[in-house]
Amino acid sequence: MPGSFQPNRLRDTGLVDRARPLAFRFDGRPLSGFAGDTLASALLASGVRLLARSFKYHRPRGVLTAGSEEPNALVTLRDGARLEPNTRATVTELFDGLEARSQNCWPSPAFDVGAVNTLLAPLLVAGFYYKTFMWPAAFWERVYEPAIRRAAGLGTATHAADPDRYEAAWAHCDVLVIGAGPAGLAAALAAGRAGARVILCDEDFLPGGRLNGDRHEIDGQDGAAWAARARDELAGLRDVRLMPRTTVFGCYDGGTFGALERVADHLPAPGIGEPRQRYWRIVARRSILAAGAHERPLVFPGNDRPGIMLASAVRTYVRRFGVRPGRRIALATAGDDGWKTLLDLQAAGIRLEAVLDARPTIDPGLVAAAEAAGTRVLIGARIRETAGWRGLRRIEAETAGGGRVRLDVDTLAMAGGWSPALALATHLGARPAWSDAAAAFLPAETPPGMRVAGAARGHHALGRALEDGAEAGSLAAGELGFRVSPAERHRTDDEPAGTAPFWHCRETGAKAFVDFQHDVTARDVAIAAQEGFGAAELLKRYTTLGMATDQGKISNVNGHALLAGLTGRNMAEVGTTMFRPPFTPVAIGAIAGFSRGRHVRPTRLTATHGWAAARGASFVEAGEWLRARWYPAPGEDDWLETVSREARTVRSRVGVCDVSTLGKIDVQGPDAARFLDFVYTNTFSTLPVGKARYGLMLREDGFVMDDGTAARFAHDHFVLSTTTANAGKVMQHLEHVRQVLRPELDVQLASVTEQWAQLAIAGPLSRKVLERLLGDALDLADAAFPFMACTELTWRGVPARLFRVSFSGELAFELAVPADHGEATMQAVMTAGEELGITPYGTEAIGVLRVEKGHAAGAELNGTTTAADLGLGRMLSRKKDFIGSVLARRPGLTDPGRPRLVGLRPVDPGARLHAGAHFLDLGAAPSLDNDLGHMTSVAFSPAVGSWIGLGLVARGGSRIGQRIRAFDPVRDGEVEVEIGWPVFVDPKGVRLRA
Amino acid sequence: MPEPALAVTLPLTPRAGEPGAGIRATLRTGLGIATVHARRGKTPLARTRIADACGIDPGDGPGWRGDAAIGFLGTAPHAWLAIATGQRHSLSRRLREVVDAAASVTEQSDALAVLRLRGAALREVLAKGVALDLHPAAFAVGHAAVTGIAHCRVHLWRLADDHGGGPVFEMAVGRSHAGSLMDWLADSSAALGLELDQGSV
Repeated sequence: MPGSFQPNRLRDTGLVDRARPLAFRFDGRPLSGFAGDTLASALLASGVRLLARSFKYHRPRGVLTAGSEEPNALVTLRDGARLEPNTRATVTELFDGLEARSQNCWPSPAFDVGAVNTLLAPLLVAGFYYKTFMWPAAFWERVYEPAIRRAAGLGTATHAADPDRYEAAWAHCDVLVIGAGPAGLAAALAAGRAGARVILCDEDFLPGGRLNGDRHEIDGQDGAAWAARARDELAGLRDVRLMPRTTVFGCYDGGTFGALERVADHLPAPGIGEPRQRYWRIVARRSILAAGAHERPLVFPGNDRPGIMLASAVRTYVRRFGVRPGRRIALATAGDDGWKTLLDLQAAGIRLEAVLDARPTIDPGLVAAAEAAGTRVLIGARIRETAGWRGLRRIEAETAGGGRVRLDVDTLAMAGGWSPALALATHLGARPAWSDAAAAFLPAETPPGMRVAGAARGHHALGRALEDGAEAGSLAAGELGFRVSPAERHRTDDEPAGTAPFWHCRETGAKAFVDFQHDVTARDVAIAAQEGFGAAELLKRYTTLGMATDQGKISNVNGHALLAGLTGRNMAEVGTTMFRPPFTPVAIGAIAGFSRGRHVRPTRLTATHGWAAARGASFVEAGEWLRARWYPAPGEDDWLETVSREARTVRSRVGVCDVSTLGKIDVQGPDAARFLDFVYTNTFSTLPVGKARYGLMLREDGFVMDDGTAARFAHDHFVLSTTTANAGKVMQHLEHVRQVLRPELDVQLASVTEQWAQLAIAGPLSRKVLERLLGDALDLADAAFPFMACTELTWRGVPARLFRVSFSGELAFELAVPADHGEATMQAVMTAGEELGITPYGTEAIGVLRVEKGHAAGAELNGTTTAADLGLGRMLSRKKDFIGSVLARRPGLTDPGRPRLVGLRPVDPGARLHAGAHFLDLGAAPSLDNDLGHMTSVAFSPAVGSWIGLGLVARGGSRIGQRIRAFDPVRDGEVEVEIGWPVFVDPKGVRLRA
Repeated sequence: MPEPALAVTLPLTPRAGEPGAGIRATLRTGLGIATVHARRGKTPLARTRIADACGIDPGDGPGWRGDAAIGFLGTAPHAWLAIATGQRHSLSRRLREVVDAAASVTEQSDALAVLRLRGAALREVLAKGVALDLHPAAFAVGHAAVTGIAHCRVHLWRLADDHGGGPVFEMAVGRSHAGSLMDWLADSSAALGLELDQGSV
């Protein structure tokens, strides 16, 4: 295949599948790798070392690590709507056809204009922004901020909508094991064999952790092979779930963990119906953190050139991926651990040019091994500088004796010791503690139910890690009552583990990077210390150390050690900053999952929705509900024309409207009437069976909560209605009253909103429609079924309820039928009313009709109005106690100066009114001091022939007939309006009682 | 002239499933549903009267107890949701006679869409919406919960496994939410396959 040449691929080493070559492109160049490669390993195999430019100085950068802690090798994947910037090449699983691009560079990573920042470097040190953009203040918004915004950021996002789907899911287990390295596998085996429900998550696609990257032997077999066998055994256990490609990113209260499963990131596109990623919430009774450790770089001048990598990464590329990261390789180490590199590379047939060990004395055995392999050993060596602009070419070191050594190498492996990956142990607030023995911060207290095992708590030696993991797994399962068998013992190869902390080589003028992703150098740390930002948390904020997306996994400890040295303190005194979730970046799409677009919340459909949709109704969202807003007739293309026709038809003939969304609550029990007396301001115990009454509810604080009707069907049975908006709130309120405030009352509540489809049939001809519909079932004459009557009946074989109530002010009925029959009933009403000119009407016409009658609705029941404000003061009974009765008598709520509900008409009948306009006296300046209240609702009234409004006006009741201004500067400016009583149609209610 | 019968419109429309559908959802039709809420201090009496009349003690706690004809779901202290095969709109009347003054009964036959769910992949699909542990050991046959799926309130209970040992759950959701719940179910079973039918199971 084209570009299939992989110059750095080793012949016989590695766990990649050489039978499955994969073609991919980087910056348009066709390249190839194998199944089992990451993008980073395939690029290194192909000889590509320069992957990106750094964030601040646009320094050329390559691959530093072989894992999720990678700060340098950030690339952009895919294109079009699936374009994804800032992806770590070290964890991107290679697939056929992958398109990847370098980023933060223009025009190319080899020649990048932004690198001019390097020349400005003396200015761009810690505190640069704070110091530079202070003055002049006026420049901040217009000059500095836009310029900084242009320069800031990493990668470029696509503006196209994400074509993929994401899922959320829950999982539960006895033992969650985080990390499938040696300790994690041993823990999962111990708990799983005991019969516990185990979930084993690993961010890698291949379990084994360092067993795949380092050369190890367990019980006489190769470490990677042991890991594969352990995985197979775990996969065969019934209650063990293996979750590869899954990063546990957060630890939360109650043993809950957040995890991100990359279901399809290793595929060109997700399979049919498959999500791209799945966001897990895992609830675990016990957890074992076996996330391993991150190797630390060494801080020396020029330590960021492509070709300078962590020693563990060099070993991983060689052993796991069969990739030789360079031609001439040297090792710089601060401890015995780095020497593994010598031996592992030797086993793969690669000779190290030199080992630079910073310690003054070294185990002679190691020196002998190196010399036998032909590797030069430099004791007490410090790197003074490096050379090679687009990749390492040379290093210069100083030996203990002061001699200078120059090494022509293109790859440098650096081993600065290990930092346990303990972030999850600290997410609930615990601070880790420094251990001099381990030269690392170790978990101190852990979240409830969590154990830390293996390298994550400083046990780096393989045998110890396996033992530690098995013990953690056994203890966790044992605590939960599972029978645990004695822990398995393993024979493992011994390994060098001695580490001496070594932090920093003297400055030479070249930058020595501490935080590679945020380009924080040793000098920046020194400036922070010098300027008094000597606390770890202040250092972080002043220099941005550890604030990049890698959260300083490999940089924090080095930065804090430098600070400790500069301020004459030890590491325990300097301490460390906090890790917060997520451990690695999580896409917002994954967090949203299914709750995206119209699924952000559920949609509730009425029983007549299908009928209304078929008629071409326009719908409006009312909370979760979709309600018909209006029903355009043929030839109508203006909504106001439609709504006016609907309102006019109701006033002149008859209309039908679905009012099922209003809350309906069944109240039963011997004390039902007493209960209602307590929750409503007015009295219901006197209401006869077969009658309904308008009722008003206050909150405890005396303000109006909701209104509606209560109909009495039996001595111990009422049905309440609430507004659509407050249906849930009222039900909750009534349950609170029943269970907490008045538990002595024998009363039972049930929501019946879903059970009944309720249709309002309103207009002077409504009785005729119902007579045709109901036939002889009921006598509807005014004397037999007067205003506010209600009854239960059986109609066409189904139970039904009829109420003579009216929101429109016309003669009106509400017919309730079981919801499954709602659509058929709507059709039956339309058929019965056809000859009478019936029209269906929607929520807008309801609004017109109720504004014409001055009925309060959502805009008036806004939580700040009292019964008196709404003209309902007489509904507050003085003969009984009710919720809100005491606080409704507060001086502030009975102040005669409060705004009161009034009606408003424009003085110029052609003028349009707008809700939200504020009222001012004629000639008064528009200011809060002169504010008289505001317009709450408006409508164009076909009955009046102009726009009309309802509003709350200070002392409105005593200002009837006066003129004021409705001031609305964001729309039409202002309109002069006349104050009137809030009734525009049939003020005596004659039509209602017809 | 006899009055024309009122047609029934179901909250969900059945649709063809793909072959080998991972889960099967059956919208149970023709059910009689009622809420039964014991009056103050009358829970034992209500239970006895129901047990005498229906042969099933509804218990007092979260759980489903029933047979093929009728089941009682404990939904709150002293409260049950009764679901009966084929007693549409008459179950509440019958139960009212049975419990008399020991409980308040409310007709709910049209308020809920009741789905019977089956299929080997069922727990995998439910895990995408239900926060509860539905492992057979944690959520045994007869266990029930009032919970939320995709912001819809649902009753969920487990019936005996089918003949092949596959899981069977039932779920009741408010009629108006049924469409949204089905959107979630279809989305969550997209990779596994979903068949939706209806019947008087």
